[in-house]
Amino acid sequence: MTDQDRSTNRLDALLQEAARSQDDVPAALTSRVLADAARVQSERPVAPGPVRRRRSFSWLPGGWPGLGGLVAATCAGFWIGVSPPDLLPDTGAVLLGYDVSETAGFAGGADGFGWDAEEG
Amino acid sequence: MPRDTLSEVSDDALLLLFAQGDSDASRVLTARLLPRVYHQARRMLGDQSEAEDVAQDAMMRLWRMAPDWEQGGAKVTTWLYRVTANLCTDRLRKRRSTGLDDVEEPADPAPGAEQRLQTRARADALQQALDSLPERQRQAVVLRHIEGLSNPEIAEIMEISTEAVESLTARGKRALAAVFAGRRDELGIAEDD
Repeated sequence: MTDQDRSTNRLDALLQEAARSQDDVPAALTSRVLADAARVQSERPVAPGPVRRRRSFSWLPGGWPGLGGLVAATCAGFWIGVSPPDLLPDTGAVLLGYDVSETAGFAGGADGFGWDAEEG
Repeated sequence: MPRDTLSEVSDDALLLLFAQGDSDASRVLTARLLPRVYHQARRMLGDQSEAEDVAQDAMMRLWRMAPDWEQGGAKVTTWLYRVTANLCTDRLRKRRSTGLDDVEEPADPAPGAEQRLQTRARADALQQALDSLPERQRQAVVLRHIEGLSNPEIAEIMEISTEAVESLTARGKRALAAVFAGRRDELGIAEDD
């Protein structure tokens, strides 16, 4: 073992001894630290706990108002599909294979019940 | 929350509880962290009174920072060691600028106990030797060999590379060994073979 090794070993032993024999924390210091903690806690309002994020549609373009508009447009579209205005072709009838004129004729037949003929 | 239950809780979770007004959390954190802070300051400054001031100041910063602590981020101990190191550096610089370098008088050991006298003498000699090291070397040696931290953790605390920590501790230990070389008999250090 070289002199340097011996010297290093002695130093390591001293450092280990120092690590083992640390002074106790003075009781007065502990009391002061706890008093500081209590003062800091009393000075400020209590911080809220972890907030559970409400499920939100804020990520949608337009947020909540945008979602409202989307619902309104969907309802309007559905209603137009059920009862299309006169100016528009009845797409439902076309898709189901009815002749549009048949439905027009039915509508035409229903509007008079022959009263126009009676009236002359 | 009962204190027994809190002993298993992580430091950052305790900080959150503290911020929510839990006084038991501050007791557990104090019991866990104050000794580390105090011993680090004690070794860095070599003065009990100053070490107490620094430890109290560091803990105060911890309490004030608690509501803003980022959960799952840096380790609380790493942050606290760094705060303590910076506070010690400020004190040491102030000492140098005012030309004061008070070394605490060693406490009187129990009379008649030669073993305790020598243990005390070795502790004082080590402290004096530590005091003679450049500040960064002292900090690295204290954190590595007395506080028992790992090199990567010290690197984080001192904001340097792990290699730089290794270099600082190696140079620090060489300097300490040189100080002790001529004082073996006086300090009752056994000669090894």
